[in-house]
Amino acid sequence: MLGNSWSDPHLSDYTSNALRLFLEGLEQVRESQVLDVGSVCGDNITFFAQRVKRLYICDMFFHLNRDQCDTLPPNQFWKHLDYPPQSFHGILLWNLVDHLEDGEVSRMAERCYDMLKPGGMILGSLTGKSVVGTIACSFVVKDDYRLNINPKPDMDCPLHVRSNREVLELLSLFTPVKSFLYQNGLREYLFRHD
Amino acid sequence: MLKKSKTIETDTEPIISPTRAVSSEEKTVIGKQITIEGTVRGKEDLLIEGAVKGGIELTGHHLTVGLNGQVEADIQAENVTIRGRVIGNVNALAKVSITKEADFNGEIHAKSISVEDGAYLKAVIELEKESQKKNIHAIKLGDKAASDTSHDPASLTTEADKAK
Repeated sequence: MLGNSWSDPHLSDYTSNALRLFLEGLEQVRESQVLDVGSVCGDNITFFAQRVKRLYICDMFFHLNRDQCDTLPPNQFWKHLDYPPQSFHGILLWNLVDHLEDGEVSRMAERCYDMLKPGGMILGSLTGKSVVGTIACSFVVKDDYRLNINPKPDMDCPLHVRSNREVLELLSLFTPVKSFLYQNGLREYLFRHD
Repeated sequence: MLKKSKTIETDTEPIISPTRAVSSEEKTVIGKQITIEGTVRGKEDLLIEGAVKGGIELTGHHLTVGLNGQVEADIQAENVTIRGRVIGNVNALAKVSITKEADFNGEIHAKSISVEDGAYLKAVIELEKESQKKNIHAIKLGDKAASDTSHDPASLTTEADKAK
């Protein structure tokens, strides 16, 4: 792992190809409904709320952190994703997978598969082996599909480093659309519900 | 305490019905020790530090749910600022502002929204979009083919597909 990379804009700021494809896909839907499970971020809410019909916010990172503090059993984590089947054209998963055990990832994948409309897409990231992956972080959307990775040192979440193969297996319910590897080591995935 | 409560009414029992005009700078405060059940209607700005359960209608005015505010209500106002806890649906003609201390659960309909990082939201957000209205109108009038496919889920040509 490299040193402190958060202050290096070349590592913590990048153009997200997956986000571009995700949004291009949503543009084909007239009244798109998108779920963002990432950390609550004002910039992101403004960005997506202006581009989709209905933006759903459910901060799973908050629940993950709080539930750990409250020592609730892991299965309580999923009660927050209580949306009806086929609710969404897209789900912004960000790097939630990084902070879940394998079993939790599988449960989350099943829940997302149920909530996603056929043809809908999931955008996910993996910071695991990247230079920005040593602590929890959030992604802030800027202009021109640029994402800024912000550290969240106050978040107490374990980090699980996984290979591409492991991630694809855990999310095998979905069809992989495209994946990207960036200079900062971060990986992005776009999955589709067929 | 309830300060300057000149225009607040509830469904069950009007508190006070003023006859004189209220200046735009006046604001009613529902204090920490006040609990109201019913619909609160008013024609001036309102700050809630207490508890309100039911509905809040402040046409053309600003509602602020303070740090100590506990609201379970559907809200209609010009602008809404949430610093405390709100469960319910918010319909703002202009802007909804949510600060980092807020805990919000419900739907938001507004022209614009600002959210401070760190707030807790489990929300549905729907912003009024002029361009969207125009686009929908154009699709309905002109491009039937486009409208026929507009409900189709997003699809992309993929490398995975090509590989298959």
